[in-house]
Amino acid sequence: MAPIGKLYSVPSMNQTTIIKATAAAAGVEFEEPEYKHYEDNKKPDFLAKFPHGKIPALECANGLNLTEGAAIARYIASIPPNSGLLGGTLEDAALVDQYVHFAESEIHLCTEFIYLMLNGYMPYNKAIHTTMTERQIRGFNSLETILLTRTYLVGERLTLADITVASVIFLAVSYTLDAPLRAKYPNILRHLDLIINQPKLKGVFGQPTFVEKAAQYTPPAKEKKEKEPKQPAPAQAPKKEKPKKAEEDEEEEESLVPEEPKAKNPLDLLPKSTFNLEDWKRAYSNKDTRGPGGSLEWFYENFDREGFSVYRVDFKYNEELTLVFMSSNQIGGFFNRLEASRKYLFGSIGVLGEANNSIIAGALILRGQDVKPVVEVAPDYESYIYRKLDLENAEDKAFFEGALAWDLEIDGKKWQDGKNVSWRFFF
Amino acid sequence: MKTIGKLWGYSAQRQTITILAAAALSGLDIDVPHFEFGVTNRTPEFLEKFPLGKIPAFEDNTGFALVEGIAIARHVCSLAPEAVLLGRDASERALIDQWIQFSEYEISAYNMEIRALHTGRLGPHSKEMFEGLINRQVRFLRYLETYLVSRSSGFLVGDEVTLADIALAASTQQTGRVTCGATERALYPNIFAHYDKVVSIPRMKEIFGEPKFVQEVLAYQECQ
Repeated sequence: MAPIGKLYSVPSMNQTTIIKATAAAAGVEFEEPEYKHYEDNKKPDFLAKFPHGKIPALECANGLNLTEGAAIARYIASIPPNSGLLGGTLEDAALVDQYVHFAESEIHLCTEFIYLMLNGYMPYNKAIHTTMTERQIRGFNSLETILLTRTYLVGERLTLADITVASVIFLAVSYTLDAPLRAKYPNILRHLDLIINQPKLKGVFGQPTFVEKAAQYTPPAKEKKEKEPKQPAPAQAPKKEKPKKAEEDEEEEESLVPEEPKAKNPLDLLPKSTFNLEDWKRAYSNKDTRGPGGSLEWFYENFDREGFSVYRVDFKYNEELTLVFMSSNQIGGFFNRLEASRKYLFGSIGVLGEANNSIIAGALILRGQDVKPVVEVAPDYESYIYRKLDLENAEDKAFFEGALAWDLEIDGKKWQDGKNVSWRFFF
Repeated sequence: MKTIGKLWGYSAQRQTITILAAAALSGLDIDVPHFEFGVTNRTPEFLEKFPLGKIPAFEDNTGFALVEGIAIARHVCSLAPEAVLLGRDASERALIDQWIQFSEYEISAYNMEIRALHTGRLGPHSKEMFEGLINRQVRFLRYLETYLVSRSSGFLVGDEVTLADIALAASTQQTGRVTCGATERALYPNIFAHYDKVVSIPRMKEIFGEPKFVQEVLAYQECQ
C-alpha cells in the first residue's frame, strides 16, 4: 500500500506509539519526515496545515490534515476494510471507544499531569501530585478488574482498545506504576506483555522500562521562593524596626502567601494574654491528647478564656462530600487559605463518616472572642458554620475534646481513621 | 417511539447533556431512569452492569452495557439510520473525532481541574496552579476562536451540525461557568456564538438548560 501521508511527531509521545502500532497492525504506511518540535511547528508552512501547532499531526495525501492522536489512530484503523481493529459490530466498536477513552481519561491524563508538574511545565504541588496518583490508582484498579476475565479487551482479537491501553501502561510502568504497585496488577501486566509482543507490534514498542519507585519531585537547585510559607513571621521582625527599607519590601512581594498585614490587625491590639498559642501547639504535638500529662490537661491549666475562645466548625454542604480523601483535601485547602491567621488560630478538623455519607467538623482555638476577624482571611470561610463553645457545658466540652483527640463521633459517624486516611490538620 | 435503551446520568452533567442532545438530533429516544448520585451508582445491580461505578452509563434493550460519555454519544449517533451526526465520509468522521478530542482534553479537562482546585478537591488553593491551568486552556480557546471565524457554516465540520458541535457546546457551557467570566467571553465571540447556535436548534435548549454563565472567573471568586 502506498503511504497515506506524513506523520509529524516525536517518538517519546504516547500518542505516537499508539498511531504507529495501529498502522503496523492495520498494514498502513506513512512517511515520517524529520521533525524538530518547538521549531518546525512554528514555521508558516506547518501552521498553514496545522494552525494549532500541536503534534502528532497527520498530513494525508488525499488532502485531509488531522490532529489528535486518538482521532489519527482511529482514522488509520478504519482505512483497510477488514482490519478488525475497530470491532466487527456497532456494539464492539462502541466498546473499543469505551476502553480508548477510559485509558486516556482515567490513566493517561494522570501520568501527564504528574509529568507536567515534575518537569516544570506546571507549578509543582505535593497535594495535587497525591490526588493525581490516587486518581490513577483507581484507574489501575478498574483496569485490573476488567482484565481479570479477558484476554483481549473486546472480542477475541487485537483491537485499538488493546493498543491504546498497552501504550498507556507501557508509559506508566516507566513513570508512575512502580514496583510495589505493579505487584497488585498481574492482569494489567499480562495484557501489556501480550500486546507488545505481538509479532507486528514488537518493533513499535520495544522493551518496557520498569521503574522501581514512582517519579518524585526534585526542587530546582536555586531556591527562589520560601519552601515553608510559615517562615515569613521571623523575617518580618527586623523590617519593622527599619521602616525606611522600601527596597526590601519589594523583594518580599513574591511570597505566595498573603503576608500578615502590617497595618494594625485588631487581633494584635488585644490586651496581652497569658495563653501562648505556640506553646499550646507544641504541647498538642508532643503529648498525648487525653489522659494524665496530656495536652488537654495542659490546655485546661493554661487556657485564658478572656484572651481566647473555642469554636465549633461545621461544613455547610456535607451532602456534596464524596470520597474521604477528597474531603480531606478540602480541609487542607481551607487551612492553606487560613495561613495568614496562623498566629491567631489553632484548628483540628476532620472528616467523619465514610464515602458519600460524611461530614466535615472540628474545633478551633482562636485569639479574641469573635471568629470572623480570624477566619475571614479565607475566601471560603462562609462555607462553614461557626459556633462558640462553652467549656463549662459538658456537651461542648466533649465535642472539643473529641475534635482534638480525633475520636469525635457525631450521629454515628466516626472520625475517619483507617487504611487510607488518618488526616490530621492542625497548625 | 421505542427507546434505544437507558441512560444513567444527571441532567447537569456535561457528558449526559452531550448524549441526550445527540440522541435527540439523531431522532432517537432514550430512557432516563431516576438517578441519585452516590446512591444509584453504588447499588449492587448497577455495579454488576457497570463495575466501574461511573456515569454516564448506558444499557441497550439487549443488555449491552457501555460507559464513557463520548463512547456512548458516538454509539447513539451510529444507531440512527444515516448516522448524520458522524459525518458523511471517512475524512469528516476523522475531523469530528479530532474536535471531540479537543473539547474533552483541551477544554473540559481544564474546566474540571480548575473547578476541583477552586473547591479544594484537587489540592491547596494556588494562584500559580490556577494560572497554569487557565493558560493552557487559553491557548486552545484562541485557536478555536480563529478557526470558527473561518467557518462559513458556523459548524465545526461540514455544513450541518455534527457530534463535534454538540460536544463543543457542552464544553463551552462549562467554560462559561468556570474560566470565562463576562470579560473573557467577550474575547471569544465566535466560541460563544457557536454555543448559542447549537443551543438554538430545536429541543437543545431544554437539554442544555440555562447557561448560568458566571460574571467573574471562578478561580478568583469566593469558594462556595
